[in-house]
Amino acid sequence: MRIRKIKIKNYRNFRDLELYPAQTTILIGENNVGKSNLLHALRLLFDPEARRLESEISEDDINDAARSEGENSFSITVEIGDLQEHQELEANFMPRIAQDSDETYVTIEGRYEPDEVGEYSFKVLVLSPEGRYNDPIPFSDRMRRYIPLYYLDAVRDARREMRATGRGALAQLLSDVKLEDVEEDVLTNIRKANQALSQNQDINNLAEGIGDLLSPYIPGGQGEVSMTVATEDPAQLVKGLRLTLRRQSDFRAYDMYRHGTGLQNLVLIAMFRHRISTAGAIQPILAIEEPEAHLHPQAQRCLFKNLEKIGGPVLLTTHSPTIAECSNPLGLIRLTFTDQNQITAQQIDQSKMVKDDLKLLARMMRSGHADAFFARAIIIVEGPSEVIALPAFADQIGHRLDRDGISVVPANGNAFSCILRSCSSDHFSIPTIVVFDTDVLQHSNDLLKQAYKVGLINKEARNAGKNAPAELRQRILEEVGWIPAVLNFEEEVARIGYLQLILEVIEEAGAMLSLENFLTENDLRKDPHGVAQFLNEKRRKSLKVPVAYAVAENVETVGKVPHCFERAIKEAVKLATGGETAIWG
Amino acid sequence: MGLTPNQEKVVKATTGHYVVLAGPGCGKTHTITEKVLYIFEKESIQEPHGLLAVTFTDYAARVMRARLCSKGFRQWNRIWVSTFHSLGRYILGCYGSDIGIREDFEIIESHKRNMILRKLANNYPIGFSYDKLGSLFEKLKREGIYPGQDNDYSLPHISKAYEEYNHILRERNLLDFGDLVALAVQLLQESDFVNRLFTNFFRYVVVDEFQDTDKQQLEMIRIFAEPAVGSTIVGDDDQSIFEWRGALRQNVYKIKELLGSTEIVLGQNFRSDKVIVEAAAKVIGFDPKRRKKDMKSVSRRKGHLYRCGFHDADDEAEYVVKWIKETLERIVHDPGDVAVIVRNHYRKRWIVQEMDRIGVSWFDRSRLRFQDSWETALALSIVELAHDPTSSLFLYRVMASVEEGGLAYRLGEKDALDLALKIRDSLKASEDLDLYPDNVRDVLNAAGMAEIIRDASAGISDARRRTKNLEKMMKDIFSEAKKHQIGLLDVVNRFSGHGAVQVLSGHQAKGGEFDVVFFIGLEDGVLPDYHSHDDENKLAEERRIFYVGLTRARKAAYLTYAVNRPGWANAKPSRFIKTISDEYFSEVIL
Repeated sequence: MRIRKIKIKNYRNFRDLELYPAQTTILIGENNVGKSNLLHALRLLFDPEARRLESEISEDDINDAARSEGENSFSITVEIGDLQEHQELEANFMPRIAQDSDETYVTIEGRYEPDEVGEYSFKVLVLSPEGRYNDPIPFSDRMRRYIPLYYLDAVRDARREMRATGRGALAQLLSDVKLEDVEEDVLTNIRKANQALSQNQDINNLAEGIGDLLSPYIPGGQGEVSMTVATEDPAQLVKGLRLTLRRQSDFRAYDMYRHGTGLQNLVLIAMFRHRISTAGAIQPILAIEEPEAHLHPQAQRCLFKNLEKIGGPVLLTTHSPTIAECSNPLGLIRLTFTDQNQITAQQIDQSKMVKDDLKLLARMMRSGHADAFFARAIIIVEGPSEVIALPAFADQIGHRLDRDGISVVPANGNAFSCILRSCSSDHFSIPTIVVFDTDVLQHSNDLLKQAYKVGLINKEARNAGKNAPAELRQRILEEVGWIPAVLNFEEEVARIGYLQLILEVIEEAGAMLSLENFLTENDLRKDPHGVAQFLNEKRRKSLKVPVAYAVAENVETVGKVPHCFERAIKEAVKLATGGETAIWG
Repeated sequence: MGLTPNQEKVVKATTGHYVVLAGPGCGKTHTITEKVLYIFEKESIQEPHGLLAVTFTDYAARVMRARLCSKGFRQWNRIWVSTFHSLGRYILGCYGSDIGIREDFEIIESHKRNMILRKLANNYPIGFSYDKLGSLFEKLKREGIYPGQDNDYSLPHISKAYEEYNHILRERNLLDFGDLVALAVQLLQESDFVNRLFTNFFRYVVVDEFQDTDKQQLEMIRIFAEPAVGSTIVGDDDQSIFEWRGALRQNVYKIKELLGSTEIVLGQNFRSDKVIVEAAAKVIGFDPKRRKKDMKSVSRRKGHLYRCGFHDADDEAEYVVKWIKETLERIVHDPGDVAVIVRNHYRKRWIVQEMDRIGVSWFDRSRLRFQDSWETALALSIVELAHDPTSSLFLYRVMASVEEGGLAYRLGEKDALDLALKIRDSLKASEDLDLYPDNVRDVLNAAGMAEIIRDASAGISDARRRTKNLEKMMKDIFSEAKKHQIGLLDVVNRFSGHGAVQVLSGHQAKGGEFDVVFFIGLEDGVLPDYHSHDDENKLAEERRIFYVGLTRARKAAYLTYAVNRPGWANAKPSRFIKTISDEYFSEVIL
């Protein structure tokens, strides 16, 4: 079973939202963009407590913009697919199943609208399959029972949830527990423990002391006060239970709340999942808000992989790149504000992606650059050197990349097109700035090929660049807005005053002799160009990262920022904050 | 009520295929109900899968729902109690497009159908009347034959007319009753998708009155039953009296063979007293080709069987009505427990006139034009409640008809009682309701009947059909009241089978039971009908009509005939009477 499609019209901050979840869907987006509203919309249809949630719906849930344009209803439409895999689900929805080649699916729609006399109500229907001429039928409680959505809130209080009393998760799990078979045994032992405790003189004194002072107020003066390890009241037995954990390294088992908050979060998710697995639903839908709470990255990754194994649809909201980076690129959905202050959902449209692009993208995400998709603008650069130095350059010219939501992503040679494509308006719609090295243009047409692949230039331009001088290639790329660095990063920085710094790094690495030899052999001087050529030799690549760090650490002292990067940063800031249309328009 | 060993066998067989041969009065409905309950109790079909229970009439479906209801059954979304036609309509209404039928089709009304047939009969030189053409088309659909398929028995002109007929219907997005079954079967055969969905849902199949099924209905049940975990096909070939409209008596044995079913005979008669059971066994046992089944009466009472010949129909009527009067005075409380059964409608005349003369109230259902369906049952109970909104009995009846009609579920899982209370409150709120036979419309409007029909019907056309049916019922109420000079409540009472002697044809009598039965007009030539005398098969069917009529009686049956039957001098008593030896008859005192 899968969720094929979600369409929301006029609900809360969604004017018209459409998205296509994957088996595991990661919802990202800034605070306030409506990630929780999206999950809440799904809960109105599928939560076992939907009836209660329904009663809380009011006209205030209709989108403001829609209301100001005279629309007075909202709708939530969800397609549930791959029913053919489950006999029970096909039986459940027997009268209104649609077909899409081998896949069977149903369309469920919740509508909140006024009737003839203006009274509002929320109705959930199974719609008539497309191309058929029959009426929708009510989405019954029985139907809901087979595809329930279980929701775990972002604001969770592990301590409250782990109490055996009240409405917490543990209390719910314990509500069906029967203890009859061991009750007698357990009580006998508790009695024994209580007796053992009362052998203690201090305890005895304490209890008696209280008892003496209390007895004048007890009718008849009869009563015995005692301290106990646990209650001897069978009815209270379950309520006294507590969940403990003893790790391998621990000497004894500790109450859950004595462990760290991260572990508590994991315990909570485990209880949540246990409740689902014992609820006996055929295909539950899981919706978890910010599962990463208090977890270190490895635990996040581990948790994610476990959630993925559940098999049913999982929807997560997250602010964690660590969670995002585990995801299939197709499962990443980004909610963003449009210019009209509406929300849209952006995600990779599989039909418009080349297979290799998805692979490259997944690789890029796993290599620690998934944060790019949380960004408001991206600067795509050649490699790690720029990634290291750019934040420092930005500081120098008075911008904060993190604050403005700008990510710097390395293309590492061949990933320009896949990043660009996934950021295009068909997909994630993230404005991008590209800074490229011009030295590669001299012996390869590759950058033009990349630009052509994303559709920035046409075939003629690409062919014109073939075998043409590097200058022409550069001009073509500049025309589409790409920013050229003079030959490469090292040459750029060396030219504006970082040469001495670079030479120090080479000296430190004990490579000065090699540099001298290289310069002599190639008839070069110890100037920015000669040194940059040396650093870009294949054998010397290992020097580039220390150079980049040295540059980054000394920007303030040197006080210079290469022109191309300054331009890139300023444009990115403009795109990220100034509301200017992205270059993809 | 307990179960006999064989009934218990039927109930407990929750998997595998069974054919149950159920004689008259053997507690068939009780057994089926217990069985359905047992299947759900033992969870032999898993949620959310369901059970299909097919009956022959809407009335039978409602009786079954009512029984299940009274036993506390609540899983209505997992059980389909329906007739073949409404099942067909449901399937086509869900996925008809797969064979080119729009799901929002409507069912053609009979006067429109007649108009089309009349036009075709005029346009094509076929040489017979339009209604004969209509029954020929019906027959073709019962065989599942549509234009474009090879068939031997239609002449070129007829097949052209048939083609045009179907074309006109399709063009107007109409289906006739034959289509509902034939096309549903076609859809189930041709679309793997639809077949999968429905056979996957219905994991158990129960069918009643299987001896009345035709070829397509047999096929429909085969399609559902074959992949199911089990089936219970109930029938009695001895009670098959609808061969003239395509029923195949042998289907009971055919389905047994197709599914490899085990046969169980329910031969104990709980209904009739000894002498009636034994006499009936003699009559039916006379058929040499019949498969032998033992019939035994459970009742320890002997019961009464009378035989009497009269000079003519007037004499017959005079005495029969005299006996009816005596019966009403001495034996039964409700005249509805007395039935006058006749082979043919025309033999009713004398008896009805005599009852009018003497002042015995009678009721003839065949005079009514409306179909007995959930909306009429509900409307009648609403009319009752309108007479006394404080009556808990009447409220209960409204609730029961809501439940029997399966309405609470269709109206969105509301409780039947909720709806009944809503109806009551609406009635209470509307003061000054005139409770006269010509004012039923206002009563129903006040109760919100229009909205109920709109919400509970299967689409607009279904709702329209039901509204029309209600209108027919209102007319019937009016004319019945006028004819007998009775009030609204009396009419409603009669429509539900109480307060008046029931006058029925042999075919109508099927399924009913009465304390005392007057089976009149039993002349050789009337029963068996003179057309059948030379045809062994037809004669056998006539014998079964006699058998069915006789076995309706609980305590007493009168078999009468007139020597000078109308338009025929020196008639002989029916040959079937002669198969019952003298010792079974009690003496008649004239």
